[in-house]
Formats: sequence, C-alpha cells, structure tokens
Amino acid sequence: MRNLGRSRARTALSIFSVAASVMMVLLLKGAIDGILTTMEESAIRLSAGHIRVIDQEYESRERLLSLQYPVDGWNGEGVARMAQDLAAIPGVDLVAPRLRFGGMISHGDDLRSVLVVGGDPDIERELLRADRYLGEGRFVRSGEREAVLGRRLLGRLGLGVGDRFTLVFSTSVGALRGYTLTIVGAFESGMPFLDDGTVIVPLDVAQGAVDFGDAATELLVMASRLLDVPILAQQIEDMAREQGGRYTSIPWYKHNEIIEYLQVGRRIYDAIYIGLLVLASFVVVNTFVMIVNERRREIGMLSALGLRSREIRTLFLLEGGVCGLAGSLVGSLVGASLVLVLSRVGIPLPGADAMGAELMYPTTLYPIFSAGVVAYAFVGGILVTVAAVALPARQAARMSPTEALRAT
Amino acid sequence: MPFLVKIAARNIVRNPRRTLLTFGSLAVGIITLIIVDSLLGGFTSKSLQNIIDYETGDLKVHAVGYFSDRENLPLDRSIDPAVILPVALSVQGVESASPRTQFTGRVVAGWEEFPVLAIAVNSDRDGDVLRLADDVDGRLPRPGTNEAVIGANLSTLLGLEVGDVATIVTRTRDHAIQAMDLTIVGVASTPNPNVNRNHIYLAFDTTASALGMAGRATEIVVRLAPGVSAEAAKLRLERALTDSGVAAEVVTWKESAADFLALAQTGSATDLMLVAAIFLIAIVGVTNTTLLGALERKREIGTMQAMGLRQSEIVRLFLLESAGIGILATIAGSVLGAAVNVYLVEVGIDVSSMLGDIDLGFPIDNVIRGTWNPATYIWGAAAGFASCLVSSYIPARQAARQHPAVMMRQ
Amino acid sequence: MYVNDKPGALATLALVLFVATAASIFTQSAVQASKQSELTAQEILARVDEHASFESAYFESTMIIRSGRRELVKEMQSYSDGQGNGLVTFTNPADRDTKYLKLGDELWMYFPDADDLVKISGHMLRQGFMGSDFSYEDTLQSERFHEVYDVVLDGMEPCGDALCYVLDASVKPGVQATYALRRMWVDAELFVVRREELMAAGGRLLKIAETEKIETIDGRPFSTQVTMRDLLRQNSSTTLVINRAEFDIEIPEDLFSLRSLMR
Repeated sequence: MRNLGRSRARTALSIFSVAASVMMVLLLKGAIDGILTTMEESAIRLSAGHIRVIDQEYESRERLLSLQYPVDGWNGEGVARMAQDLAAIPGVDLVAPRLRFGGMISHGDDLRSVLVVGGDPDIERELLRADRYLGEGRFVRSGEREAVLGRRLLGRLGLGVGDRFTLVFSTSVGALRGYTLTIVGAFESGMPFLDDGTVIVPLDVAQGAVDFGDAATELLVMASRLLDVPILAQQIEDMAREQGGRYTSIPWYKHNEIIEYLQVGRRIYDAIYIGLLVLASFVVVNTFVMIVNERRREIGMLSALGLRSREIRTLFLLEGGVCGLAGSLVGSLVGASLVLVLSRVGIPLPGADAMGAELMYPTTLYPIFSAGVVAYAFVGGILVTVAAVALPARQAARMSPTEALRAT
Repeated sequence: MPFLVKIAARNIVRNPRRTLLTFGSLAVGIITLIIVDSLLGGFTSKSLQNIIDYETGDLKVHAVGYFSDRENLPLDRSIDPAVILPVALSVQGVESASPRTQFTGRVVAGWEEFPVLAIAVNSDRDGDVLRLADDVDGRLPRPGTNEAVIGANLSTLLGLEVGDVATIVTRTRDHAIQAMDLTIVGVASTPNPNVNRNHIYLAFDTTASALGMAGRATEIVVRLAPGVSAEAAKLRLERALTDSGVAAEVVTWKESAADFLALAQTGSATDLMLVAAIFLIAIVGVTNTTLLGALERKREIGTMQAMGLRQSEIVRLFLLESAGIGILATIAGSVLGAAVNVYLVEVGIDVSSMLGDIDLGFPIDNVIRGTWNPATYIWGAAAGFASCLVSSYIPARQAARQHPAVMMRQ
Repeated sequence: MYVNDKPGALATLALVLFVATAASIFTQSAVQASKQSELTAQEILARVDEHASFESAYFESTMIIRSGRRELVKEMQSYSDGQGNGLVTFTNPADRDTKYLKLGDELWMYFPDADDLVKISGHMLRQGFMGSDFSYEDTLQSERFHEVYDVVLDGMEPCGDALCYVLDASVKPGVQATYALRRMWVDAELFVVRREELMAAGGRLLKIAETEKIETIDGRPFSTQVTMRDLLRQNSSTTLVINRAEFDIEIPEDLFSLRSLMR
C-alpha cells in the first residue's frame, strides 16, 4: 500500500487508464446498442409488432393498402373479440388493432398521398411512445375526428397543431369520401416513416370512414419479453390454423428485409465491439507492463532486501488488483451514469434528415443502459489489469537483484 | 538542434522496452482503427452494392431536368443513346454503358393486377453494366420482341412463370394509354429485394416504339472500372458531354440512391462514434505511457540539467523523443494495418457463421470485404502523432522545471 | 378510365356529368364545309352534336360499376348549363350528398364530412370517376375534341338494325390524348353514336362503349343507356343509365359556383 502511495502520479495514471478504458467501452456499447435497438424498435412499433396477424391474402397486396382482406374476427365476429382472445394468451403484453389505408390531403393545388393509420388511442399511446415522441399537443381521442401528424409532414403541408385539413380516401366499397380532421398533435419521432407521411387517427373513426365495421387491417401483438416471441408466434399460428386458416402470424424478425438486415448489422457491431475490448485491454496491459518495467530497480532492491519472488509477485498483483479495482469502479460508475443520463436525454445525431421515409432512422440517439454490460466491464477491467500485471511481475521477480539494480 | 535529435534518437534506441511500450498503444490503436473502419466501410458498401449493381450503376446520364422530376418518371425528358453512348465510353474510367427507360405501369394477369416499375433494357449491353443478367432464371428479353423478365416476388404474386403471357398497361410519352402483351422469358431472383418485388424488364427497342419514344431513353447507366472515384468520373463525363455539345446531366450512385441511403447513414454516425472511441482509447494509452515514461525519468532529467541543458532544450528533447516514437508507431501501425486491410479487401470475413439461420428470402453474399479509405490512415496518423506530442509536452515541462538536486534524489 | 368525350356514346356521360355542349365548333365547320350531297365526317359529328346540345339540362341517372367480382351502384342527379359547367350530386346511401362541380377547366368535389372543397388535380385526374371506367381527365379533354383529333369518314356499316357511318379519329401528332385512336359508329338516321372503340396507338383495343338504349326526348334522339367495357381488365365495365332527362330548364342562379357547392 505504501508503494502505491509513494508515487501518486503513477498510481493515478494507472487507475486513470483502467477507468478511461472501461468508461469508453461502456459508452460505446451503449451507443451502438442504442442505434440498432432504436431502429429495430421503430420498425417493431410502427409496422411489425412483435407478431403481426393478418389475412393471408393481405400479405401480398399490402403495398396496395387493399381494404378487401380485413381482420374481422376468427369467424367474422369482429376484431375486438379476436384482440381480446389474443391478449388473454399468457406472455402477451398488449394487442393493437390497426386499420391502414391510403388517403390524400389537399395542399394548394396538389393532392398529397399519405398513409392513414387508425389505432386504439390508449394502446397506441403506449406502443408509439407518445410520451417520448409527441413533440407538441396531445394524442388523439376515441370517437373524435382528430389526427396526429409527423412534424415534417406538417411542415410540408404548411399546417400546425390546431389546424384542420381534409382527407380524401376510398372506402372499402369504393365510395370516395372526404373527412375534415383537426390536428391535435405533432410527432417528432425522428423516424422519417412516421414523421413524413403518416397520419394517425382513432380506430373507430377510421372504421367509420372506410365502412369497415368492427374490423382492422392487422393486429399487432406485443410480447412482455422478446424471448417469448417465437413461442407465441407459433401458438398464434396454431390458433389461426384451427380457426380456419384464414389468418397468418408473422414474427417481427421475418417482417421485412429492414429488420433482418438490422440483425446482421447487430452481429457485425458485436464483432467490432470485441475488437474494441481488445484495444482497451491492450491499453491497460500496456500501461501496467510499462509500470512494472519502470520499477525493475525497485524490484531488485526488494529482492536484495530478502523478499522472495513469490512475495514480490504477490505485491505487484495486489497493487495491480487495487488499481484495477479502483479504476474499474471509477470507470464503471462514471460510464454507467453517463449512459443512464444519455439514455433519457439522448444524443442528437446530425444528418438524419437526408433520408427517405421508408427507413426508420432516429435523429436522436438513446444509448441503452444495461446493468449486464456494466457488470461485465467492471469485472473485465479488474481481470485485465491483474493479468496485465501478473506476467511482467513474475518475470521481474525472477530477475537477480543485480540485474534489476543495473536497470535504469 | 541536431544535437538534441541525436540524443533523442539514442534515447529511443537505448531503451527498447520503454520505447515499445510507449508506442504500443498508438500502433495498436491505429491498426484497430484501420480494421474497424475498413470493415464498416465494407458493411455499408455491401448494402449499397445491391443498389449499385442492380439499379443505379456507378453513374447515370439523364436529360436535363429529369433527375429533379424523377418521381414522375417523365418520358418526355429523354436522351438519345446514339449520341451519348460514344461520349460516355470515351471518358477515362468508364468501363461500359447501357441505355434504359423506366416507367410505371400495371401488370394484368387474369384476375390479378399489380403496379410495377417497368424498365426497358438493351440485352446486349445491359449485362456489362448491371448484374441483372446473372440472376435471371431464363434469359433477358431479346431485341425486337415483346419478351419480359419479371421479379421473383411478382412472379409468385401474379402466378406468372416462364412461358406465360401478361399485359402491361401504361401511358405513352404523349399520355395515351398503351398496352403490351408480354411473354415471360425469365424470372429474376436477385439479392436486391426491390428488383424482385417491383421490377419487370422489357426489350428496349420494342418498348421505345410502343411508348412513342423514337429510340430515346430516360437514362444511360454507366459502370466504372474498379477503384475509380464516382465523383471524379462524373466531372470528367460532364466535361466530355459539354465538349461534345450535348445537353445532359450526370448523377452518381449516391445521388440516385439518396432515398435508400439510410442504412449507410447509420453507418457513418456509428462509424464516427467508433472512430472517436478508438482515438480516445488509443490516446489514453499514449498519454499514459508517455506520462509514465516522463515520471520515471526524472533522474535522467536531473542529470541533463546538471550537464547544462537548459529547460527549453530538455523540453524539446522530450518532444523530439515523443515525435520519434510517434512516427515509428504511426508507420508501424499503418503498415500493419494496411497489411490486414489487404487481407480484408481481398479475402474478407465470412459472416455466415455469425448469421446463424436467418433466412432473408433472397440470396446474399456472406462475405464482408474491407475497403480502402486513405483518409483514415491520414487521420489516424495525424491524431496519433499529435497526441504523442501533446501528452509529452506537459510532463516534460514540469519535470524540467524541478531543481536538479530534487531530481537526483529521486 | 374513359372519359366521356363529346362526340361519341360517351357524349351522354359527359352530359350527365358535366359537359354541356356549347354550340358549335362543329356547326361552324359544317357551315364552311363543302356543299356536297354526301356528308363529311365533320358534318356527321356536327349533327351528333346538335342532337346532344342544349342550353341547360337536368338528369337523374344510375351508374353500375362492375369490377372483378364486385358490383357497385351509384345514383346521381345532375345539372348542366350551356357553358361547360355542371353539378353532380350523389343520392345513393354510400355516397350520399357527395358532389362534383365542373367549373370550366376545373373539377371540384364536395364531401358532407369535410369542411372545405377538394380540387381534383394531378394524378387523380387520370383515375376513374368514383372507381368507374370513366376518367376525369377525359371529361375535361372532351370539349377540345376537334383540337385533338383528325377525323375521317370510313364508309358505312350496318349496326344492329340500323345503318351507321363509321368515323375514324386519330390523335394529332404531338398532342396529348388518352386514346390514340377512336372509331365511332354513328347512326345514319338518328345521328347518335351507337358504338365507339377506343384504341392505343397501333390499334390495340382498350375500351368499347356501346349504346344500349336510345330514346327521344324533347324531339331529339338521345342515348339513355351506355355501357363502357375495359378490355384490359377481367370483368370490368360501367353502365350509365339515364332515368330522367329534362332540357332547357330553369337553373338557379349561381348554382355553378364554389359557394353553392358548400351549401
């Protein structure tokens, strides 16, 4: 202990190197996880759900936003009942019925195409994270001719919260209809898909608008735990088959190429993360090897004073251990707090505006705080430090005192 | 000064261990930076490769005003391939070029009908520029015929196979309704899902006359030789067109694919973070070791002062040493990094083991290849070198200020 | 979607929907035409036009839209004046109170659930009127038939139990029109278009319009039932039936105005 105290600068530096490495690793993993997870989450919340239940025929005609293949119950008894049935399955967190159809908003001389999504306000508020992404105003209410539009869409239409607009659309029986809706909120999710071309309305209003009755175009099932999804998907698929095979259930990881692609990306980034760990470890090792190297004279003296190799080695290990512990502790604490704070506040990302609406790219990065990652980093920091000290310490301890003394 | 350099050099060589340790972090940092940057570049360009190989080519030549109006696919903004192809092929870096005309239509097959993007292609030249021909089960439409190749998803959706007939309904250049009966001669199953789901390919000449285009095209797609910069080639092509008195606009794949570049954008944001992180970690390493080195050499400093070196000279000495180490480290790191980069670019990393059982529904090439990014080498070297100098300046000054006697006692 | 074009069986639809025949261009050219005993194409069309023209009109009609396996029925009441303005109000349950107003070159829609009027423009113009086989743009283009097409007489043919003049119209080079070629069968006695074939450049048949009923109203022969078939789609056709027609009636002032559309 005294040794540590003696050269405070050296000790400080060694602790600092461990702390800094641990912290960088934590921040980076949080950030990368944040980006990938956000993109996956956006896709899940906006279109895929954890599991999506649709009419088999709808799947291929989805891009046409056909209204001819509704989800209206196992046997036509209505989508509300069906949603209840699904929600009752253990492991299901919530079930969101959605009615998607295409419409046009008149803007000056132009009719601009938009995607209209009707959803149950209470459910959608949670599913779409209105608390986080509603930039202005409030969410829609059942039964009211209200809408929430993305901020960018509002900008392009020259409208704001409180304004009214007319939506023109075709009903399921081919009638052309126009509804005037009041804008009650603006979405600023940073997800171009949402912000650029989507109009969110209450489900019952959508159903009335297109003459759908108690039906939807899809049911989004959200699981309480991501791990349960494959099992739930199978369960629902079996249920659907028993009930006549009209519906099919699609788990999120099979939803479309974007999600699948993100999964590939995730693994690439995991590999890169390992590379980073190696680098960080190297830095720590480097630092401590250097320290031991510089202290060979000291080792020589200690040896001359009668300390045995093993004791010398233990001494260094202890010193290393303490430094490692302190460094890891500091690094983990600082790193974890930063990630925690940033996960709430977010890091603004530049350049996301240049993107088309198809992809869901966030403009704010919310790093993911994971206690597991923190624990790994903390333990890792200590282990690497001890390992870094162990070998050179042993080597140095084996030197004869005279050799050591000669070294400068 | 040269005297100091000599001393610095000798110090560096004299204590190889310390030297090695000091520059270790920097070298490894640079190597890591190069590898990570290379792989990430490879990953993003992979996703773009599909678009470049099947949709945008490296460059496209359009009629003036077409690109800004491209959402409407205006057929009246067209160019003459006979005039533009020779010009394009004469430009340095251009490997091949082929005309195409894009338009929307709906394909009617029995009870089914579906909106599609129709592309008229010249089967003789198209294969040199874009990769469609490689992935067609069947063949490309022959000139002078009403043959067509249809994307695999469309084929399933509409129930169309090779030999079947379908009608495509569209509008001519003068907005008159036009319908063509097409015989399917090939089904395209490519790594590009957009092609599989939305595209139908027709013969260029028959389509041009059906649409009243008089042999003209909406675009000339250009493929560049490997390694040629698209931006540079674009400038050369623009100049060549102007010199030939041809009015046209040239766009790179980046501009053509702007709407699809989201994932690439992800890449650059995370890339930036990774690069920053690597820098920081490496700099921490360099700083640490330099500082530690300086700490340990207080005695030496005392000796030097006793020998009559002035403070400023001592500081300069340390800086020179750092610089020397920094240069060595940078060179070593860059060279080793480049060696690994060569392997990555030529051989690549097979990610199929990592993917497990993801079935993307279309063929995908499982190898991620590295990329060459000279900027990275420069930045890495500059930053690393700078951090060396910076981190050695302060301790050098501090140490040099102490009284020799104090030094000697340590 | 087809448009109701002025001369042509589609003329009926145009009338019902929007267009009033103003007087004419055809009449003009007929006057300037040669004094041969045989009629020229222009003269034939001029006669058709005469029968179809009016200063004002009121119609009650039914439109049956068959598309794939579905059949939709729309009921309409419409007013037209002699200057190319028209107002259509839907009376069937699904579309009740939806209105279209044609003011010269512009098409406006009124929806009962909307606060303001919607102008039909852009790509929507090319779509079918209420999902039928008639498109909006043709409605607007119809008044300029003579500017768009060159018409020649191609002899005479029996059509049903009557004799028809056969006219061939081809789009003038460089002019934009939905159908590159049209072939019309005009009843030689009644001067009503009995059949019209709409074709793409090269002659491929796209749509066929057939008059199924001709009645005499106010002394003039008038087609009161027309069916348009889209030959490119499976089972796609639209039938327009005029249940009631009154000509030269009193039209309330400023009926053809955006303001009155809102009421």
